[in-house]
Amino acid sequence: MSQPDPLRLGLIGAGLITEGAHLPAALASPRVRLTAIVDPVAERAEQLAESAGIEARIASDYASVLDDVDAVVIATPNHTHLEIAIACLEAGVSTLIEKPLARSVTEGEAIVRAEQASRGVVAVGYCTRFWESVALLQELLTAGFFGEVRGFDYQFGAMRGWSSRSGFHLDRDAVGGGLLVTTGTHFLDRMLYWFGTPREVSLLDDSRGGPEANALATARFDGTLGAFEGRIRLSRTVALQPGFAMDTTRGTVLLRDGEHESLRFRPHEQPGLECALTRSGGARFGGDSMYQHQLDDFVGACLDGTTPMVPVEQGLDVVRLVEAFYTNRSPLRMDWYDSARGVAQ
Amino acid sequence: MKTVAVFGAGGFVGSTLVEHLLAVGSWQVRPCIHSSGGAWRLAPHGIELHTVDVTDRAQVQGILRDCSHVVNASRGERDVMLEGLQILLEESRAAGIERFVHLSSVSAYGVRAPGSLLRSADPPAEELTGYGRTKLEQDQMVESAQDKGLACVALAPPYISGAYSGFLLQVMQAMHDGTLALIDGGALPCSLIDVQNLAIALESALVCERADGRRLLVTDDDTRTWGDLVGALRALSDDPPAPPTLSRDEATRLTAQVEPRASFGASLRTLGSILTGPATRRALADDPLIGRAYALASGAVPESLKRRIPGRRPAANPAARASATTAFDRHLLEVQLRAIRHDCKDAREQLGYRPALDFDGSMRAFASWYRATHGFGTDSWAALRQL
Repeated sequence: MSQPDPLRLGLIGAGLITEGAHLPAALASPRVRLTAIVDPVAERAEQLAESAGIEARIASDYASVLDDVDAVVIATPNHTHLEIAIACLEAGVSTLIEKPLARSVTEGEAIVRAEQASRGVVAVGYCTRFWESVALLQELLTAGFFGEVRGFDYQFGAMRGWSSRSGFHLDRDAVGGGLLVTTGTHFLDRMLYWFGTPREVSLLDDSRGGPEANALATARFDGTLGAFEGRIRLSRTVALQPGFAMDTTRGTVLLRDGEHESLRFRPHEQPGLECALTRSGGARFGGDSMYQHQLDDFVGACLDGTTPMVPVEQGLDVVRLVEAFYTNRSPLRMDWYDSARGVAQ
Repeated sequence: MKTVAVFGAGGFVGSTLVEHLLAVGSWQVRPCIHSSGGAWRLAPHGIELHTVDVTDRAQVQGILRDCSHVVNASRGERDVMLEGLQILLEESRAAGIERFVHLSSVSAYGVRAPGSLLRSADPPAEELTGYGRTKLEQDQMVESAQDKGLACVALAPPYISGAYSGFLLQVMQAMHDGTLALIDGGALPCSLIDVQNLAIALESALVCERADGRRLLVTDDDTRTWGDLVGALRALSDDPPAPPTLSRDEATRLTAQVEPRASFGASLRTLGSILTGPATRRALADDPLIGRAYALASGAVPESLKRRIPGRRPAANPAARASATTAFDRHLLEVQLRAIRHDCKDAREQLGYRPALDFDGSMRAFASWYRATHGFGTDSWAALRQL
């Protein structure tokens, strides 16, 4: 039996994420033939092709390469996702869209409709789904291993952020929000994956017109896992140990960002004990990088007809959740000095 | 309305200054950042941020067009700081900038005798740290630009406190790690300036002619002690350990520097220490093949060497640890030993500088910021501490 032809893949957007993640994953995949690299700055796309030692079609306009590809990775600023995704899907080209799917529910729904009318498939780039610990937690929660959930906390904080080549991430309109979108959506996607849709959400953030750099989000759940509250702290102005802590009736689950192979579990019945939970028989997502697993998953969806790990509907769920948070937002007070001046003056 | 370009606007002082000027409302502010990834603090304001490489003359020319004033609070590698400032000064002069305010540092005055009172007009000491030398060279460039007709003022702050203060976070981290020791029970002076006070001083310098050509020390009004500082910061810790105390003699001995001399033997020892260092040994032990050989051979290894194997180190004796040189943050000991007081009388007289916050107000601002941004004291803090 002959091997199926490799997937002809195009990379749209030759920025840092393509250079550091999508290109290496594509080059390492035996089921992929990289046929096109697109960037408004064509020289940048050419440099990437040269550095990778491949002969690919180089273009500054994605529309000109649609006949040369079966699928594309869209790694461009958020405000361009809608137009590019719809053009690709109308041409029957499958798309792996970097997170978030779109800037708004309206845009996201348009992409969903385009997928339904297309022979192409859409996957959304929530790459942390491919951490072994994330998948393991989802399975254990579903199996009721931890009992009922009492609540959780998550925090992420770094004093510097990703410096995209275009700088679009500091443009609220281009992003569709601020830190909650650029950084927070990875956790929001995991949260939906683990706990389902929250009953109620609220947000405190420091936006005064621009993208927020600090956000405190609260989500209340009421479902099969229990009635509980989750608190999310995000910051791009202070460094915080990034990670997740969940209290359940059976114990505490701890998951540091960066520790992707196992879960830490502290059973209430055995104070002082901490267990590392892993899957016997080998990890589902071990070894390769999350981007490699993500691309392999997407290629499988394109060539084998499997459902991608993050299908378009789930990408839209994250956009809906983001909109719900922004709809229920209140300003986060950042006036440290107003009250501090009292004695001095 | 005058337009001021703030270089280094993404940094600690630059961000505070931009926010202060926006709040004052009497300036058009043009924040100049090095890269978008480091400018998040200003992003929420929704103002235009200009990405500028200060060593790119054309970019600087473009930014200075239509500006009347410039503040340089940029930092970076030595070469960039010097070349960038040279370009900023030349292009400011060419653009007819009314006043150029440069953020200097007390380190430009060099290493002073412990316990001295430093005044703005004091000449630099002969001994300078690497950073101090760079800042002094920058100050000399600013002075030269003044001579060529560009109105310039340099402000020299000591360590900077207040919201977002990296210095205060460093002291807190040392307290948390148990590496902070107080000299003479914390009685030595701790000279600080709140970042908001510094922003006020910078704004004063923008509009004050009397200070042209001067470098002025700027501090808070009240100089407090290290004991005061640690006392205030301990209120922001869960289990605040009382830092141990050292005499000045002990601290001096612990921080005494031995000038490294160039010699073949010393170089071999350096190489040896790298090869036998914990990071190298850990990497070797982690290698599946080398690690196994390492384990098999360990029976033949003398006990003295076994203690150097990662994970087999005997538990540290806290008493012994407290007396070891490496147990304490050397930098924080050195800062305390300097015990320099800074006289900002000139800044008051020539700039009309009036600090808005005293030490207590500054610490309240820091505490307020720390609680809000780190979640200290909340339920989440307790849960996430387990990480």
